[in-house]
Amino acid sequence: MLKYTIKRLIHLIPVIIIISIVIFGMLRAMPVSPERFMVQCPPEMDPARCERERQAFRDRYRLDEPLPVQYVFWFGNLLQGDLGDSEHYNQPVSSLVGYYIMNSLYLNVVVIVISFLLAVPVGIISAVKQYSLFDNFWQGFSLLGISMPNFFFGIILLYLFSMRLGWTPLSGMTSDYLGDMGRIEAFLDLMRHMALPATVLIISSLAGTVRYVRSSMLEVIRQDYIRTARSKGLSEKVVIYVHAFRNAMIPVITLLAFSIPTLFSGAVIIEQIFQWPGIGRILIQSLQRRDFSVVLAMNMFYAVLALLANLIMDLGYAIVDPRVKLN
Amino acid sequence: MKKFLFLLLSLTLVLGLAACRRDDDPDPDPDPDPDPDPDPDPDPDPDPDPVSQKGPLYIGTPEFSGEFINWGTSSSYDIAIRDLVQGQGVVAVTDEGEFVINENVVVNVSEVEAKMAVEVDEGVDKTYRWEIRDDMKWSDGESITAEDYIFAIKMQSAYSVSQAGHANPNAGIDLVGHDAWRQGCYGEWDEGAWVCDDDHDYTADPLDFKGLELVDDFTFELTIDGSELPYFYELAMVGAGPQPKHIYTNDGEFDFLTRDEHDALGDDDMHIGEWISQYISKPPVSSGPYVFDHYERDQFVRLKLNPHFNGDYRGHKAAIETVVIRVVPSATDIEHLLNGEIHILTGVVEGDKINRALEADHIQGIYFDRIGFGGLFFHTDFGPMLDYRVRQAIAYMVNREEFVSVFLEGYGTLINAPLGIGQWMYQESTRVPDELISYYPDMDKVHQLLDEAGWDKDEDGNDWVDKATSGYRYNADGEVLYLGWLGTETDYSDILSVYLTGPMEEAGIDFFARQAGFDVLLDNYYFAYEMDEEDRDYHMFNLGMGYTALYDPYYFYHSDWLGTTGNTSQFEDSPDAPMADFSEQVGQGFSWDPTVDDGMTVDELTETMRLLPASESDQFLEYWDALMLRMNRLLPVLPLYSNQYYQFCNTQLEGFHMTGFWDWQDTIVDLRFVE
Repeated sequence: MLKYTIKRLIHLIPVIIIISIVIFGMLRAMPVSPERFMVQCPPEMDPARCERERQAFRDRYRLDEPLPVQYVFWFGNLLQGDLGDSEHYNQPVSSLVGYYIMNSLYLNVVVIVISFLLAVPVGIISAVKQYSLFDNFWQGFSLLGISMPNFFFGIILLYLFSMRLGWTPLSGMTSDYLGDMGRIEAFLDLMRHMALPATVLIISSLAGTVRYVRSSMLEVIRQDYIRTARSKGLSEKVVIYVHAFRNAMIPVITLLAFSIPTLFSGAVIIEQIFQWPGIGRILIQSLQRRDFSVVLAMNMFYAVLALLANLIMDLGYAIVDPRVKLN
Repeated sequence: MKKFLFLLLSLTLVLGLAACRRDDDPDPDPDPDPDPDPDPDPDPDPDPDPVSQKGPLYIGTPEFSGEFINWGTSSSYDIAIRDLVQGQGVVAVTDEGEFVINENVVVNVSEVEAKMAVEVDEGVDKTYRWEIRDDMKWSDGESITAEDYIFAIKMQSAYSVSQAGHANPNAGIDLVGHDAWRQGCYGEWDEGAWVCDDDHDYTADPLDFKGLELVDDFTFELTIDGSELPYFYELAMVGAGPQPKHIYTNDGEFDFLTRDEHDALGDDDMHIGEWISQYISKPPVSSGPYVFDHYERDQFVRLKLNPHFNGDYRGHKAAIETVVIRVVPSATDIEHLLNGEIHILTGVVEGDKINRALEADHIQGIYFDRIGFGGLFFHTDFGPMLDYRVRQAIAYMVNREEFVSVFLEGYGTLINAPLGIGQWMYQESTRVPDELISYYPDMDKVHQLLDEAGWDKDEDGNDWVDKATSGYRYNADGEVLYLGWLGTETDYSDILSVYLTGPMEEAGIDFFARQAGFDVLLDNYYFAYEMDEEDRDYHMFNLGMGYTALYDPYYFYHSDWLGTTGNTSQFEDSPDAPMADFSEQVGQGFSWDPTVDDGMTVDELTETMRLLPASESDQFLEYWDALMLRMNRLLPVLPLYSNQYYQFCNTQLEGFHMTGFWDWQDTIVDLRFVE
């Protein structure tokens, strides 16, 4: 396993380099020069000075150099942990993103934990009691949850619970500095702000996961070894939870592994709607502001995260399914 | 399993309900023993206000970037925070946009006024001496001294600070010695590049900002570079506010560096720019009405009353103890206001939001006229747009009145020159807007103007009749009359396209319209002059222009700035510009006399205006009138509207007053809770 892991990690290096070239190239191919957007000159500013400020910006990021030189300069800094500076926030990207990643993490951990805790048992029961009222309800729920865009659902909840009923705040993550509140007060304040975005994301995630678990479970309980277990006279609980459950979990692990990047990547649209200061929102804003250092750093972060999640998924298979051998 | 599901759902429900409890008491005091006032008022109010001013006062803002120190590159939303923690400037701007001496800071006001009245010859340096009060304090109790004022200008323009990614390009820009200080070495400009004098002996003559002079603890002098004089806004050139030298130098540990000294530093060597950078999102002390307390990135900034603030230029002090500036999304900002989550929301221009707020009993609304305008900005340096008659023809195509009515839902005014209806010149002028041509939809005039401009042929060289018969218009050289328009992806462009596309077609113009992101628009608008003419697709752009108290049209319409991002229309007027050709239009709905401007070009007018002494506001107005008349006819930009900006405030507050020059952070010293 260790040998396999090391081998896979080594294989990641050329993939990361190729991804970095693609991301860098795509951003540089955008039809806007960054200094023109980032160095804004007020109307009363001497235009000659404005030009000089723009040139200083170009010099700082070596924008007058050929593209490969720019790439090597950027990637070299990246390897040393220097992600560049955010022009909008005027801060190093490395010191900026930690805050937003943590905020996304708060939200997404809650979403993933609750949605999986609900989806696994619901999916199993739905499969075991196929075509029952319970199953039909969750099938309908899943269909609705998958069909309805979560931004639309978010806006409906916002209108209902914040604007009309006034139960939840309209936006943001906290009412005040959490450090100044007591623990319970801070927790409740965070929950109050999290209620709507988390609900939207949970429903959206739940809808897909329930269907996934259900279909996986349905496939397993039709297998011969389940029939064998039943014919041995084992109780239905033992058949389902001991024999069927573990096998049904293999595809669910895939789903869980793929949700690891979303823990950190944030929910772009929902964070935007609810003004949740997460990493998804900052990525969109940075794209709009052409804050290239942030966009580059974030895209590289997502790419590495996705590759690692893939690796974790493969390792997870080996743990859950003894038939899988890693070489 | 059922039990587990039941328990899980119950837990979620209980937690959710507990968390979503509506907070009916928005201000429970968690701290029964608030910090005692470190500087108790020696003269307690004998009739204390029964209404608590504890707050918090909540104010909505679209965003922060977190630069709360006085750099020049921050967003306008950060500037509000800076204004609250930075005060005691020697020059202030009134609510009418007038630069005045801050008599609450400056002791020798009459001496400064006398100096202002002295007219110097062009090219002669002029020195202002500022003597400040000796009892002003930072929020940490340290004295504010003249050194802090000198330090502020140096800090914002220092080479070593700019190398940390910060600098205010306008700080001290008109003072003697600015460029050398900014570049970190003595030298001179050579074709736009600063060339250091390598032979200079910095031991004998250290690098310094020559135009700044410390006289004593509470007196300093600023010398304006004579090449910048005279100037109508002379007082603004010598405006200065303090920065805490004792903190930003770490009590003398750090000093400014020359370019060589800076370049010799190792990667791990801390220098003054980096030291100051750590305070960029948390200003350590305040000289303004409030003290920075906490910044939760992208969420809110919390400020506390500064007990040492001695008032704004009128001596007014803030009373509300805590102010929280919250980020609210523009989609729901009005909801935040209506449901009481914020007390103040400013800069509202959307008609539906304005109507909803005005209907609410607990909201008071005020508006001011914008110090700027929105319009179609032309590139006048290529293709058909070189001819003012084509630009005029466009003006006669667009039903601007209807556009303004639809787009602004009544909260704006149709204008005919590049002005803001909130500008003092507009309000005092006796000629503008009466003598401006009011362009109204008239296709006959469009055809006449395009014919006169030479676009009177069809593809085969025959006389153009109409679109149905002749197709597009061509000139004698066989070139088609093509116009490109680049708009933003906004309602503004959507609505405007309705009023442009049809008439363009009818006029026989090969019209190309595109909507793109704002960055793409700015890139094409600002930098088209760098492109080859055959690569340029766009002749007009929809944009807005916002003026400040320092209105100097020289920077955006003068031919000195052709080929730069200053004169964005690449507009060049000349004595031959056909002002007199408009004489035929006299009597057709306006009364313009073509001789009134004495034939002065835009270049001459803008130069003359800025060189007037500040006292000559009547003359400034006369030239401004002439400029507006000329711009109205030559149309480097087709103005469409000047908005009314609405500001809303909860009726729990009184003292709310704003203008185009007077923002909420200026009025905060007058705000009081009344219920």
